Amino acid sequence: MTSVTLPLGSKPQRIRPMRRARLLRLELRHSIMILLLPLLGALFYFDAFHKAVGYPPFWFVRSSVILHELVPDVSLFAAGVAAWTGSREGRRETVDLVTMAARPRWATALASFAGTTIWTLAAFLGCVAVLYGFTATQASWGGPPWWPVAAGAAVLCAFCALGFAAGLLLPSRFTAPLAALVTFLVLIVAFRVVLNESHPSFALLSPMNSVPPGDAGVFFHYFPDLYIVQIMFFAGIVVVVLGGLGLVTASGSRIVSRTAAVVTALGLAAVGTGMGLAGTARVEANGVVSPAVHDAASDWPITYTPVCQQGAIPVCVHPAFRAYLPDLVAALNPLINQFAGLPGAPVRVEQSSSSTTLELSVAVSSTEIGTLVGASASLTGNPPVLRLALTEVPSQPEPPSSQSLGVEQGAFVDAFIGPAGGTLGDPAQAAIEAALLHNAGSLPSPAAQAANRFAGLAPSVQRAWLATHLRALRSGHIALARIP
Amino acid sequence: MTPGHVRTRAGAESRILPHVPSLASATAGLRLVRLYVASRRVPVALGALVGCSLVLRAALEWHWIPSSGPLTQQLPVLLEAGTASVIAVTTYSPFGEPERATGCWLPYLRFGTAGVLTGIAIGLLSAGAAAAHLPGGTLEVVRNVAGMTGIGLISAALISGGLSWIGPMAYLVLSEDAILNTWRTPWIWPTTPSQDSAAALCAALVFVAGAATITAWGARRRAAE
Repeated sequence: MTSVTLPLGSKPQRIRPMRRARLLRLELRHSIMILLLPLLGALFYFDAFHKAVGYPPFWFVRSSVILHELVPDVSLFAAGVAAWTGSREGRRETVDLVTMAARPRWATALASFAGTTIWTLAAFLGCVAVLYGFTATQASWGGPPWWPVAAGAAVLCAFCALGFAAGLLLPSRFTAPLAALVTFLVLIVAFRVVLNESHPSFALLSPMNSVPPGDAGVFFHYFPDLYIVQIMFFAGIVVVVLGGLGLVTASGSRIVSRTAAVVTALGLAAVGTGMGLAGTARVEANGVVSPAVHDAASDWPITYTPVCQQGAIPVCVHPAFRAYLPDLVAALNPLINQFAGLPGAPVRVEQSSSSTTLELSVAVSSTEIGTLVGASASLTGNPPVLRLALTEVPSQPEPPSSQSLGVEQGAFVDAFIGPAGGTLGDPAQAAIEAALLHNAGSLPSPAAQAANRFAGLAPSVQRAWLATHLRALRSGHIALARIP
Repeated sequence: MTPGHVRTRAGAESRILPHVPSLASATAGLRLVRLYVASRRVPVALGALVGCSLVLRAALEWHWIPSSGPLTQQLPVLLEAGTASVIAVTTYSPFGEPERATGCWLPYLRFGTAGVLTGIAIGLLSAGAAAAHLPGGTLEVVRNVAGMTGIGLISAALISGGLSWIGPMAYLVLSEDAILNTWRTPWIWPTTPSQDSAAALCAALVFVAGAATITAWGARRRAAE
């Protein structure tokens, strides 16, 4: 028999960074999120990318799909997969084994969370790279906005953290689908409906805000205030949840408990600050202003040299709209020729920002700035200059004399014939405007064409059609082409 | 297992449960069903389905659903996808190969559980919308829940039981996008009115395919689970 001398107290072994990296590498290799990457890519193509290419090739407008489409789609799966990962030890009933291991359970939980979150962010940034890369081939002015990307990343991390915590605390096979369901429910109901009605300011924290007008971020800097507030709020949620996990999984360790308590307190402070800043924010034409984080320098307009083309009169636009200039000249020339020589006829057409055309800025809700279609032009100065806001332009320039710029034709005529201030004209003004637009080759909108078709039917046929389709019509299920 | 259940090949009784129903066999059958239901966490699933029904009730009561426009479909479709996900996840088996090797009644139990839970989900959502105007009505609930459950069951067979919620959720994202962009195809049935027979046929086909797949093969089991 041999005797072995055992030390009375063992020295605490320091975990080397390489071992931490190995744990993370294992989590990354075994993450379920890898399986979802093709699915996320397909959903991005059919949803966010498809919608973005339908918008004009302006950086800010196209970047709006990041928060409006891409983040909700990815959040749904990120929360579900994070919940599935978080519930792993509970489902396999290995919590005791992991708690007794050399490393604190908090550290292993953070590695699991990091594995899912890194893959989620990789998928998200990959989609953003495709979107921005495609836009770079079409945009003629400006550069990619990065604030929406940062805000989107913060939102995804927050839903990953919430899903992971749900899985860790309530380990069950149903936690993952319910986490995904609740995520979508929060984005659709909690932010969009409930908060929008009862607490409009806090609805600003929702990543799913409205699509900005076509010229947003072109004439004026679009304020980053809202993104800063959203990042603060959602990053705070991440820190609170991860700190809370530390408190739950501390297993009596004082160091872990104290560290987790400090982290949780810091996160709570960030969440509270974000909510406080959202409460003081106000919606303006160029974005949301939060006084505490607002940079006054961003109020100044962006300097640029307009691009002009000589038609019947000079027509000038912002360089970002350079591709639309030939179409615009072709669309306006027939109208300009009709007005030539009349008193007050414009001698020049200049593009103006929709945010500086006062009658355009109509507060639809606390999170939306709407535009009055048909009132996006004004005649000012002596000699008169027509200032035209291009808020609705097609995704790609279409051949001249197409109907792609019919709204701008209407705005031109409305500014010249209609009453000042963008209000609706009387029937006589409307009749003359319609006749002038008809002369200029401006066809009625598809909705007006459908209305004319339907009005031409016999009353009994109209009634029979309504009796059959009223429910679908009310719920928005009837396409224009299906109207007889 | 009693000695009577173990026979030699000659004149062997292939079933554990005898052909002729008896009180003992009925008790054994009920016990088998109870154990199967417990192993699939069906009681918890029923709780989740009741939760979805209550959320729908709250949405109708507090007017979270717009009265007109494409957004009227958004929340009901979300909850229908949620119920389908829950039903699909019940296919996850914690036993794996031993159960497959010994359970000759498994196909019937799988089919029965999926069918009954789908019926209960439809009933609960319809009850949640009772005496309130649900856009699309009960027929749409029947079609959407059945179709999405079919997708969930197919996902369970292809991916795994535990991750089968991914199928209905992916379909949900696609449907929400189709609703907002007014795309129309019978294969995305939530975008069409309840009278659309082509959409109803597509949903029914998917449900039958899902039920048949899960009955025949059961949920796939991944090593990572």
